[in-house]
Amino acid sequence: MDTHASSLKRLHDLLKSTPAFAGICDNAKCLEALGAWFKEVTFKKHEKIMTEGETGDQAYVLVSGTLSVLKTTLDGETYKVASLSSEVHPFFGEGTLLDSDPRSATIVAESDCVCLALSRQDFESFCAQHPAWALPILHQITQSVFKRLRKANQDLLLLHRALIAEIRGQTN
Amino acid sequence: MSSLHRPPRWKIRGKQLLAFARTRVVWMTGLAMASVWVVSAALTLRFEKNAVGANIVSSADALWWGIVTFLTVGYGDRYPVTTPGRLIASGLMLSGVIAMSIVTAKISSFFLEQALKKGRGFVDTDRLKNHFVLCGWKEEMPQLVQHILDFNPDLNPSDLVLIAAIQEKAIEEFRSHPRLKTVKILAGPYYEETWLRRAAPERARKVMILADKAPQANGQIPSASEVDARTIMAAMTLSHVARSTPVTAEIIDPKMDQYLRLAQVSEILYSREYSRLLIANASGGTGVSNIIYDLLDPKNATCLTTRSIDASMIGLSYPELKKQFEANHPGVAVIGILENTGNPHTLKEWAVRQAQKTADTGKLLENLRSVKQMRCNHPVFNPPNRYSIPEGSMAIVVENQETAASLELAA
Repeated sequence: MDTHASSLKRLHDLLKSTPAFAGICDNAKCLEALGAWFKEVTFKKHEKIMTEGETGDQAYVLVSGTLSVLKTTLDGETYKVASLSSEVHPFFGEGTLLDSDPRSATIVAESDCVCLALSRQDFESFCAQHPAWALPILHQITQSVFKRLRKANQDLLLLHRALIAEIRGQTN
Repeated sequence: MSSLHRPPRWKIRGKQLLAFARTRVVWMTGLAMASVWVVSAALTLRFEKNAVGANIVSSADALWWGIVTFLTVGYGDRYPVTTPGRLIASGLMLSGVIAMSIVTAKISSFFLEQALKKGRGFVDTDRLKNHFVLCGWKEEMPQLVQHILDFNPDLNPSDLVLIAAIQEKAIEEFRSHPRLKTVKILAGPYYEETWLRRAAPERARKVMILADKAPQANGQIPSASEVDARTIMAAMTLSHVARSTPVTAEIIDPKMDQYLRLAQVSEILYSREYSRLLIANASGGTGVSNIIYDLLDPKNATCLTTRSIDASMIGLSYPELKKQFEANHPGVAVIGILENTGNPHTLKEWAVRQAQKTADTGKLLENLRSVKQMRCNHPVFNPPNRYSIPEGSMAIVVENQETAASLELAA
């Protein structure tokens, strides 16, 4: 039971910094139930974890290592958006837990990485078994999706203004 | 003697022959001839095969006899013995004679046309590469072209293509200078797309448009705005047909430069403005006119020029760059930085690509706006110490070749 307790403690540490799971972290039973669905996966250095535009069905929590987030311009050139390190245990690809939409960025392992993966089917099974526990998680994910939607709307407004200024021939 | 009066050269080039063989006429004629041959042979064989004393009895015999007859060689080792066979033979001989004369006529007219084009100052557009195109004519053109050759030591006179609506007499006089004999001349209006295209500007290393004030065919001297309008027309055409070639244009009225900027000209020469400013400067007794003359004169050891900056020095502060650059290049004094050098099209394309490399829309817009306001070949003299060397810049330097040479000798 000692190993069980320590693995629970580890899962708690991993998930508490992720807003989506923060609400259930202190519930040991819930953590245990959810933890059962997570699978450990490892990626070699330079290995692609997900590719922009492709659909996937796994969300990941980074346990150790460093990742690069890459995006492609309209001209087809790749640039680096950010580096994610395991210190904050980032949770990525979470959109896929709700819907199978294309990935919004490419993620490449900068060093050898260990991740915990959760697939959509598994998450759905968890939700079906424990709807009460799933609610705060879904709530958090929905909130972050809305946050992004608001940002996208703001960006749209910004582009709209820039387009009008351009057509009017103003410099600003 | 001008090229017009020189007898055409009859050197047949493999490439020209290939071009000839590729024409539609040649294909069609060849196909027609081959079918006449094969059909005649097949028909003859049909009539001869079973005749008494016949010697055309197989397909190979028939084809051999056919080609020998068609080319009017007539070995006589095979011959038809039946009347229909002989009739076909007569037809084959006649068509052979006609076909040969057509082919001969086509070949000779093709090469005659080539030779005539060359005599008229025809330039073989397909063979031009990494050349220098000069548009327009000036009063002292031979001197100007020789200066251009002085400033571009790697430029051969035969790499120079001149387009100007000039008379034979002027070409003759121009070519009488021994150095300029091999300069290619297109005698036509440089502001018309068809003529510009003949100079293959898309493969040229540079195009220069001069303010051509030469009288027109009707003897009228064009006004300054007419001259500028032509320069702008040529620049606009070039920005369309040769986007990646750097273009330098000379303009008389400085107010017209905005149109040249629209046409993405990389360098604008304000010749009249320069001379006016020099005169005004000389009136002040500052001695600047002497300085400028010495800095521009290629015969002088001291010259004003730009030098490319090593990739490792990009991003340094200006004083640091000046120190390092002068240490690496003896006899050189850095006086400023020329920003955004090169062809505006290529430069803009590069800048737009770089600007898009952000995931933040606000930053993207800011980047794209700065690309829009980018000024090409923009000189910055003695920038403040905090100025850091941007990518794509060159150093503006005053270079003393004598000092450089003596320092090199000492080292």
